Amino acid sequence: MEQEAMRGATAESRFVVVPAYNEASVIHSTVRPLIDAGFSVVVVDDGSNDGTWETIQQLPVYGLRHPINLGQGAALQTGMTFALSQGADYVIHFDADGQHRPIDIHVVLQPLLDGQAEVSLGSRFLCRSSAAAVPYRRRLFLRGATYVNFLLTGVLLSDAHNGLRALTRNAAQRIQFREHGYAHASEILHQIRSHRLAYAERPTTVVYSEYSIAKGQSLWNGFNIVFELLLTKLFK
Amino acid sequence: MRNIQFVLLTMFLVGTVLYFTRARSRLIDRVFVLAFALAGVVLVSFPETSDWLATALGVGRGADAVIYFMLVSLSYTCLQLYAKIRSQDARLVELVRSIAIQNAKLPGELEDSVPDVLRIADARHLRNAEWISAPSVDGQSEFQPYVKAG
Repeated sequence: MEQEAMRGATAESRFVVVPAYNEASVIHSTVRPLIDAGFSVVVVDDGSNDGTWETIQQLPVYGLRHPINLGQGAALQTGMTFALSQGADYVIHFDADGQHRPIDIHVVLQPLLDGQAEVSLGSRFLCRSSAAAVPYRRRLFLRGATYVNFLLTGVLLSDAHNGLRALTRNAAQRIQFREHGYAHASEILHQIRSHRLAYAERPTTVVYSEYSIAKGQSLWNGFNIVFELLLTKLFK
Repeated sequence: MRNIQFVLLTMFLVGTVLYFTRARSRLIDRVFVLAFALAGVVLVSFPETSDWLATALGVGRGADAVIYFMLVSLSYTCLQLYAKIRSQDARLVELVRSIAIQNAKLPGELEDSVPDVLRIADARHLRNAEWISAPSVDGQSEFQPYVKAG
């Protein structure tokens, strides 16, 4: 029991996994605060061709590179597998485009530290001020997506696709992303349910910069995600 | 013999011979291909067979019956191929993942030359260092404007 309490006591055993595809211009400023906060940082370069990998070489982080582009889900899984092999007690997912605030990591991590949950998911809709910051069309899109997720996975959340999540070692070992693209955000819900993992949602803020909006999901992509999920259900 | 019969028969024969000489395959595939080719040869040589089949199934013309069966088997083939692509994809991901993990760069391995642009970014972050401060003593994050009191 005491040993259990000791686990994760050090910041180094908290691994932040940052999947990055062509993020050379922002990866440095995204990752630097995480290093400064003392986390172990794993940047997974998903086959970028814009110098992202060269930038990673100059940062004191774990760097993994997919020789070819596979998709965000695959990159996260690579990072998680690696983090677990390095003895991670907690694994945090953190987008590379700078849309998350580093401070929010502590917020999503808290329920795990308190033993209330095995998986903690960030949500931009739990707090009025951060919800109001979401552009109107995205709000509609994400609202629709939460219901689609609910139909497909049986888990109803307030935010359908938030890249900031925290998992305990146990949860990270159990959850295996088989969706290589963006559909992993729905897949994780499905696996939370099938592995009966306790989960929590915590309020986080998404910073909408011109860059992150340009990189974000479009409505069309949403349809693709649903399609991928249905196919996976078909071809399991 | 009509011209079309000659053309189709040649295609069936060449296709089957090519398949058996060039492509490696499982026994079940061979049986399937052979049956398919035989059925093709019979139907082309004796078109009345398809008419007989059609009447037995309650379809108007023999050609229609053949088209229906073609549609079903083609869709099935498409699905099979799709499933195959997906499983190949999963294997590819496993391969790429193991390559990535084998060649992991550790935090200690740094390249000496840091471009000036990044140095500037670094300096900016040092100025904003308090913004990313760790949780305060009570374990709660200092920055929680969204938590309602009580």
